[in-house]
Amino acid sequence: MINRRIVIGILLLTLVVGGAFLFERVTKIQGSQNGKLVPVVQNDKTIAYLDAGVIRQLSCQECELKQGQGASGSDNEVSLSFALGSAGIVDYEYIQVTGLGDSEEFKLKQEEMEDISLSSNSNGTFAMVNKSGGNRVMIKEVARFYAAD
Amino acid sequence: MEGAKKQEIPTSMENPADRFIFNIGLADVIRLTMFGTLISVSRFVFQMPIGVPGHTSVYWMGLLMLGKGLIPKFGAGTIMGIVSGILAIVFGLGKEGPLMAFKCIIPGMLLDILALLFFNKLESIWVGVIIGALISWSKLLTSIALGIILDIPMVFLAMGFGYATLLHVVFGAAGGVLAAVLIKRLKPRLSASWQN
Repeated sequence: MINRRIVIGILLLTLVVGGAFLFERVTKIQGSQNGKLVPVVQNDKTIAYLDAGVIRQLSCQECELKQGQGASGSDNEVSLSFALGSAGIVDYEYIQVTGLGDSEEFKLKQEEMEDISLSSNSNGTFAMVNKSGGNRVMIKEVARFYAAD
Repeated sequence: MEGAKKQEIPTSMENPADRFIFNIGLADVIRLTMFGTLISVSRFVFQMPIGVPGHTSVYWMGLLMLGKGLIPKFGAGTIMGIVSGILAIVFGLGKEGPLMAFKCIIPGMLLDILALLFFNKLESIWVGVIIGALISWSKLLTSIALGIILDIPMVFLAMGFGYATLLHVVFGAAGGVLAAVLIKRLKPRLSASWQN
């Protein structure tokens, strides 16, 4: 009786570990497809993932930083350079931002990124907005960042 | 009639300390409190800056199972969990604040249920591996649930979940094995003196 339960227990453990890896893989694939998990790629390696929750938290951090410097920041919106910096991307030639579906692709150099920010959407995705152009939405749902050296 | 009176006498004269909490005697509750305290103390005494998730499970789950193995009564795990949870809040362990207590109570409760399923044979190495791994994983799941409650971005919770699960299972199993070895050695020596 106990031996049978031990065998079931070991099988359960195998399922738990296997299921956890499977769950993570499925979450990554589904999230990347629906824009809820945005990979940040450099040298063909995914170095970080961003989502709407991360954007909200980063916006709070940037807000606090700006308030400390006397400037004002806004909620749910973080500058692209700050978000990329938090992902560890500092040295690059340009950033290629891809949107979901057939939306336009943008290649941005460091000097072009000053007015560009990321804003979280209510559906768990986030948008790329150009603040200098009257908050013009460049990409409604961002799908991928690629940093080219 | 007389027989019924005779049956009533032992229950009325029963010492309330014999059924203190969950039908566990006061002496055992004090011993379980000691194990609960050891769990919390060990968490900051043996804290290693190795950055490997779940490494605390070796002594956390080890002590939890050792306590349950030496005092094999239903509710023992829960009592140790409650004590270690309260102390974790007092010591300011973890980033979850008062919710941290759940991370201690849930594995304790699960230990009570799993020990029942394995007929309290915690001195068996394989039972130690299974129970240690499962209660360690329950700690990880509780952390994730607390993360959702505390509005931590899903990306931090979902990424590395497989790796974190594997490490929690391995460290929990290691703690379970250590506990099984200790229970096997200590139980025969303590069973005589640890009687209520």
